[in-house]
Amino acid sequence: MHCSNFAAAFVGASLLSVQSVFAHGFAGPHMFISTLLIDDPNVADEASLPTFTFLPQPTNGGPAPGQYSLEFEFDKRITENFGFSFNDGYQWLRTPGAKTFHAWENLTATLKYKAYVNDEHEFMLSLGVSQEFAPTGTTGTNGNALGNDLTGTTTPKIYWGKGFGDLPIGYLRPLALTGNLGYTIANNSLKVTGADPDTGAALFNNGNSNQWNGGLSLQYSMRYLQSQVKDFGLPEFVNKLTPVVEVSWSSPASKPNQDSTQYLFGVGVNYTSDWWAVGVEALIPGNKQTGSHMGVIAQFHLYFDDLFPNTLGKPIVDWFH
Amino acid sequence: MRTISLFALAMLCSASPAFAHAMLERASPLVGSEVPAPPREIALTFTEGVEPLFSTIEVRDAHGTAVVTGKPRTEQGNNRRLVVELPALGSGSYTVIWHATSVDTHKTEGSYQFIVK
Repeated sequence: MHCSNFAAAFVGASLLSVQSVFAHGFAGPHMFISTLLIDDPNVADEASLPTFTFLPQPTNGGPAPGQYSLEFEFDKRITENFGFSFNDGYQWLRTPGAKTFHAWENLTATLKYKAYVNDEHEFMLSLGVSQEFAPTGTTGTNGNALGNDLTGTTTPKIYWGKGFGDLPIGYLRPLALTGNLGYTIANNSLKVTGADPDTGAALFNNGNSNQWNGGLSLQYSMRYLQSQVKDFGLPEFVNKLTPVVEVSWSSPASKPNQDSTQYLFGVGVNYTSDWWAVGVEALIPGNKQTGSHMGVIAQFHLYFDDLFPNTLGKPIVDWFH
Repeated sequence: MRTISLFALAMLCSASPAFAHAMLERASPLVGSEVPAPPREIALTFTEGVEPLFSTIEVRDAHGTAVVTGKPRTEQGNNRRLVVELPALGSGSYTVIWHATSVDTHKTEGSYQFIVK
């Protein structure tokens, strides 16, 4: 066999032995970034190590307690479009002049399936279900102070992403909208068990109320602008930026409940390099029940499909081929 | 726990050097540009090396008719630059549609327009 033909055949065999590899969140030319307040619609091999959050908590006139957290997430594909993830984290609640509480959060596991991708119209749809395992986090005084649930919840969820590449106005085409909507079902329903003999206030069991929750992100890809619409000759650093606005939301869906509707906005920027990304956003509480002042969230993100393309970065079913 | 640690170590030790998705870093003619004379070639420079056997560049005129369907090549010693020759183009708007397979088999795609005055 001629040398170049042999090389071509070898390369061809190598490529044919690997399925199409799109593990980043691509729908056609549009890549959905890893957002900080809501989960993106993609199923991938990746990790967030860590996500740091600071948000001053609601207060009734006294000094606002500051809540800090370090969160960790690991995502792994089992097949090309089906995977799982684990989330956990450690939180601190610091109030000036008072004791600082700190606690591990409950572990959450998620199964997710990327059900539909339309490359031409830059659309992606995924379905998932999350299970909060409780009490796997810290219990007792510290767990109570940080709001750790004592019983678990199950959340079916739908995720989507849509790039605006269809639009006739070129400078709007780098926009993308991603979002998700879930319904959290309490594994042990919240019930009134009696009344406080002194105050008359209702007493509850250790269950949870059901909840609606979700969020949206609007992102503007400078890479898309440079490679699909118009190249202004900007530095490569700028082409890796994606300004983003996010909102997450939750609202009680059953009675009785002890929660209130909350909105949290994030405004910031994401920098996506070849195998890692960094995101930083200012956090803006949407109402008094969400927080008292602005906070901040930052994340360091790893893409295993680029970092370890032949091992951790490919679906588990392909490990044995 | 020890089994998990050994497994993780094995995964890391067997890892290849990091490659990545081939993003379009620069194009000639430039994305969204107007050029005074017909270009002789389309040259796409990616952020990673690409495999020309499994990458394509198609050019269509304003009516959607393909003016180039030939196989692109990479330049000697620079597998990040994918090139395809062009026939003589007339004035008008052209769309470049590309599909790239990086050397570690990640696939990316895109399209852009340029105008010949």
